Amino acid sequence: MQAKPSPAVIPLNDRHAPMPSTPAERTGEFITRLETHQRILFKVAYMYCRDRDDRQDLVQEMLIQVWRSYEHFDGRVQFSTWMYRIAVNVAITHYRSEGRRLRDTVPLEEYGLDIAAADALFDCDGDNMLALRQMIDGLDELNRALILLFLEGFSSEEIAEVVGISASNVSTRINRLKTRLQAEFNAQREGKPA
Amino acid sequence: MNITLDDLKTEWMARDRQLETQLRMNTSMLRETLLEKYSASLGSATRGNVFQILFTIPFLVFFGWFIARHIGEPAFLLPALLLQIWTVVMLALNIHQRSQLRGLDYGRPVLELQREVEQIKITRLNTFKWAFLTGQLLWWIPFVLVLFKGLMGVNLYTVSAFMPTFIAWNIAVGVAFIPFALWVSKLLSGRLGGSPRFQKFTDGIAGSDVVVAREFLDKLARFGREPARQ
Repeated sequence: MQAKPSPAVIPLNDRHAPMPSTPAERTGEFITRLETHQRILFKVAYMYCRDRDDRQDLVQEMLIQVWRSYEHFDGRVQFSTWMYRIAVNVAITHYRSEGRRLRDTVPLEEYGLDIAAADALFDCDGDNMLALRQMIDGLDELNRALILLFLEGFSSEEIAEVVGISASNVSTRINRLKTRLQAEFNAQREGKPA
Repeated sequence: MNITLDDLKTEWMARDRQLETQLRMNTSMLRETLLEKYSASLGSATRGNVFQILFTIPFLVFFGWFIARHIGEPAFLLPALLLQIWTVVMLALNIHQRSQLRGLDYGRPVLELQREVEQIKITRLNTFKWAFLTGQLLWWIPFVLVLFKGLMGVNLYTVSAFMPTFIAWNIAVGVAFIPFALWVSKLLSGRLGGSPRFQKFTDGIAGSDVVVAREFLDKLARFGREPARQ
């Protein structure tokens, strides 16, 4: 039997964590959490944007939204779950507003984040990455969220918590995506459209 | 080669581990920018509302004063009353929608939040559409009538024998413009690729963006339901 892979993002044990009292403490706590989970932003951006500049805009937009929403974070869900929700919500909104760009005067580098490392890892060639890219391109905004969370190693229950649908719905949809992907590969091998 | 979703998962997780070791973050720079951006964004939201209120107050005061003075003259009372109602409703709707957007909690589950985003979008699109269609009617003849009477004491109904006909025709054209604008914008909707701004405007009037938003709401509803087993 294949061992269940551990989730790519290891959540902080931060449910019901006491809230810091001063703004400086809260900012410090936010930055510590963000440092642990920052790659969520890059991975979600990779799922929703092919263009590098667009990805930078999206990472920035997600970061600002996470920061803006942080005062409402009450620890009822894990920080990573909460951050996935925000990142995916911002990405879907961004994805749906074609032509709209953040056009912030502050470059991403001034947020202390560097997208180059993530780009180098996810934009590289290779059969698997190419297949992944092809698959993502063929999915709509909602299924991209499902696939991302599946690739991250989350269980159906955890995915359901982020997306807001039932765990059995998640399982059915993931199975369908698996079947679809398989059919696409088979069709490609035989040289005909799936 | 045969690639499965589980192979892709393994590949993805391997890259994620590499990403964890390679990503760096300049925390002091982040702290500085976040604090700066946050106060700036709070300031701009408040500024937006304050600017709109300040811009609207002179109109509200003027129309209010005018209504009080012409309470017994329906020919002047009616246009002023309509303008006052239009101004108050638009101000209230804009402030309400802006605060709804700012109050969105992005930390809620995806389907829940996206539904709310789309519902706010539909309300905003409808507000824009009807603000334009009714605004072009009210802010022409009724406004000019009230302005001339209120500021200069000139009764435009009586300045010439031709004036009542001119006013009646203009109002009739303004009313007829509403279905005409709806028809033209539906005709042009999706056909003005060369001019994105004008395209957005015609789409807004035609209601095409509302249709897209409603379709997405349906899609969210379908996604929330478990698909039938195959």
